[in-house]
Amino acid sequence: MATETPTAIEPGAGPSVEDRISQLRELFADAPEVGKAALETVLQRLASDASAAPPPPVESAGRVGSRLGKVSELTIIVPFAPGGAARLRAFLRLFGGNLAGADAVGSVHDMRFVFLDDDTRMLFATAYDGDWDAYIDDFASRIPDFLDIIDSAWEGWPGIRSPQAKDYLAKYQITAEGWYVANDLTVAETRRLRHVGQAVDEFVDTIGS
Amino acid sequence: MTLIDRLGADLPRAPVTVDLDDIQATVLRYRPEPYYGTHVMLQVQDAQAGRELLRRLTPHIDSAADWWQAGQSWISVAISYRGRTMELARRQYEEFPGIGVLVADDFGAQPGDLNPLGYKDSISQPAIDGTGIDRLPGQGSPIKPGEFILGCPGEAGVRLPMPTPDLLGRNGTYAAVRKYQSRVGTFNRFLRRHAHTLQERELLAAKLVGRWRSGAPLTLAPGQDDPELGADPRRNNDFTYAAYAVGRQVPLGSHMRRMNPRDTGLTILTDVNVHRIIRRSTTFGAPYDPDAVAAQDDDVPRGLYFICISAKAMATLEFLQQEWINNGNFMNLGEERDPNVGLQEDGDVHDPTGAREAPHPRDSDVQRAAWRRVFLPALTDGVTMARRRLSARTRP
Repeated sequence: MATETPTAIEPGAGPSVEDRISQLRELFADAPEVGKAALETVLQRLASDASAAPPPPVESAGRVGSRLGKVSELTIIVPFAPGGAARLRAFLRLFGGNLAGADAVGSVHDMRFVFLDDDTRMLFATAYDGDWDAYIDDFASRIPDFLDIIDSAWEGWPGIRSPQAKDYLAKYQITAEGWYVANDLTVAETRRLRHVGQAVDEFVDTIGS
Repeated sequence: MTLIDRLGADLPRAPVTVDLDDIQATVLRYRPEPYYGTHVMLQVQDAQAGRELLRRLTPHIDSAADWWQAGQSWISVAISYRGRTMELARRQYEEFPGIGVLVADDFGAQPGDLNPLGYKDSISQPAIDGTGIDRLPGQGSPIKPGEFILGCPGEAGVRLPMPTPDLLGRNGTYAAVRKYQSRVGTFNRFLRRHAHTLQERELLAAKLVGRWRSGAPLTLAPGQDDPELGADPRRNNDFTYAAYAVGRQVPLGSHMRRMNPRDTGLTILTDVNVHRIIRRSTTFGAPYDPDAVAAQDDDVPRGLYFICISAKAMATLEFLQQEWINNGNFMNLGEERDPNVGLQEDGDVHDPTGAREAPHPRDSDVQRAAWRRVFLPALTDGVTMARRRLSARTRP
């Protein structure tokens, strides 16, 4: 079971913390007893830990999506085109479900393709560095076929080279209400740190031998 | 000086596939050396007057035909989408009631064609497919014309979005314009704080940009400036970064390398060809003064009209600012920013040399005004169409 770590409430803009708490209590009035009791426990802990600095708020990742530090989330729920689910599943299985080829993109932390509702819709979710639309022209030029194989499984996909591609993706993207990522490091920084760590180990091994 | 004057009559030729007669000269002609001119921004208050101005001006706007050997002086016209600003020739506007002048700024090369921070600039331009000239030394593979001229296929093989109807957009393009005030005092103080001899200062100045004052690149002139190399257009851009992967000789974060990474290994999947710009910046104001170190020297009027041309001007500009100027991730430099035009956050100390030789200026060397995006219509159709549009607005 995960440890419950209450964090201080982010004051931020909008309604005051007190107003947000009283709204929360109102909404929880109809909640199951177990939820209601849990809320009171958590609120008490938060109140007794008022000295803790609030975490930085989640920012917008451009047109749609949330960002924490340098890492953004992208969640898309999109209807499959007729036959699209079968095509995409067969394509993903070609790689045993492992899209390691995405290493080359250099800004993608993770990706998942989840088939929903009897293969009629798909959830695509990814964590990535920066803004996705900044590099879409690069993808259209460098890896158009890969993207069009995947995305042509979706209803009405205009093609990655189409000027409408960005609008299409934005239309089906849903901003996450909550977003957490452990490291405020880009993929490039993580890789560099791995190299640095290896080099330090080698160095220590060498001078120690 | 035209391109053929600079590079010689054996300029490498290639087939022409774009409609040079219909494209404005300024899209393809290189900035003359030395150069002088006036930027005029007009506001059309009376549509009829705007139409008449364009009608009279059109015959004076050169096309890009034979751009490598034609004309030393020319007029360009750009129109903002909302019809609020225009860049026109100064001598045309005075006689027109109904046209208001917003800006009329003279510009011109400093002694030695140097920019306000004392460098020769605008050296590297993209090679563009189908414009009649093959790649020049160091230009890399030619870029599809649609990245710079609307209506032609771009790098992804399709046409970029353009104003409708097609008649208006085709063979036109966009320019993004921004006026920068150069903070010469801040720049010089930075050099003096981190380098004690003149020689060290000049090396530091070269590491920031990737080129020495003369334009000689650090790839080819690692130890000291080489004015002869800097002045030789056949040699001063003729290099790749294949032998300079780490960035000790030419810092990864130097302005030149950021703005055109060429074959530098980047951390993110990138097509450098879709982020190139045609550079037509102009320098205005007082010449660079290497001894200007006072706070008030920052306020002496001098700077750049940064002008770049791209068929997707604002998207290109946003990409450059967000990814290549105010970020370092693409070169694995963390949050390091462009040492010349990056926005420096107070307290930032960066290492543009990659070798811990030189911390970064805390203050940006430039101060900005707002960007303006303007549309450079094609000659035969676009200007005519713009005239008709102005005309249509005057009807009840």
